[in-house]
Amino acid sequence: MKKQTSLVIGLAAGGIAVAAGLLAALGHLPVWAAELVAVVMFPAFVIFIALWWNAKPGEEDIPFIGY
Amino acid sequence: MIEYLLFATFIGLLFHGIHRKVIARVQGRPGPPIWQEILHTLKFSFKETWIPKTASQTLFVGIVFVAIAIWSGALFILLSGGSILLLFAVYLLHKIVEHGMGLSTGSPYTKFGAIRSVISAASELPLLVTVVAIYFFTRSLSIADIAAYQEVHGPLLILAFPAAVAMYLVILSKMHYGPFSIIEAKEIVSGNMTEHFGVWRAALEVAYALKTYVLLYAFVLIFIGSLPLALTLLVMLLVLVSLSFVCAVTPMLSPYDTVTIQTLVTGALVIYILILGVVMG
Repeated sequence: MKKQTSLVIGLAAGGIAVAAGLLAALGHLPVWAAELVAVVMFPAFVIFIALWWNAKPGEEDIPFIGY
Repeated sequence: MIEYLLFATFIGLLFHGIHRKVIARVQGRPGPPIWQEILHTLKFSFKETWIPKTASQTLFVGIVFVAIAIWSGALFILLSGGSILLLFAVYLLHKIVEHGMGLSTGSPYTKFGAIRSVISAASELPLLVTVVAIYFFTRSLSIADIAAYQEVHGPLLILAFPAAVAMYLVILSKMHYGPFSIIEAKEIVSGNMTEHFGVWRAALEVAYALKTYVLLYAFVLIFIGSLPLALTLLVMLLVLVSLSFVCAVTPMLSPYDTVTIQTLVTGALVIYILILGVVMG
């Protein structure tokens, strides 16, 4: 995976979780549904953002598969 | 919603740091600063990240997502006053995560950790018995109902003290550096986590921070009741410090002794429940 792809996925996951929370707060989405979205999106947010800032600036894939 | 998860992660990591600090001070060492585990997690996130050649790639990566997701779900179960059985289910899923993490890598050390996680499944028995004991008092397994019961009748910590001890043992069995931490013992390097390094380990630290927060919060909700946030955090901290003290003065047990003690506690709790059944009908 490329560095830029990680960032996009991480931000998208975080954005979806925040949007679901806002929709639930405004009453447009059941709270349980917003919680479910957060449960699914939070791991993706944590891992892809960490992969993004972990990746080197070059074109190589992350994570390295080997050793 | 995500703000609850970020808050719980931050507090959980801080609690891990306090845990290490208390253990060190009890053992006469200065210990790391209490924010060490936060730095530790950040440090791991900058380390080289790889997937071993011998690993099952899907399981190796997927298990980290699942670890965070199940404890995120557990936090929302607590916040929404859901069923204590769902919390029990998350605890069982965590056992599968521990096992899967160990088996996913192909490393002998992680496999030993995975096998030990199966051996230490006895730690679930006191939790199951705790659930039954609580039901005898509250006639409900909903956390909201349990909290409401305690507002009328007083804390279950006093009314069902043996059940609280069993739950305390369950939390102790999940603490780092504890007497029951056999799956991450130093003789098998870092046990089932050995090959999960870099970003994977940082993400696992997030999952374990959520786990610590959820277990302590569950203890407070189930045995003391619903309190204001600041007071809840204070009581969680007190429970944590007592756990750290136990971890500091107790050597790590052998796998067999771990199972023996947890089974004995379960046996004692079963007798307690039988007595409850006779007395309370």
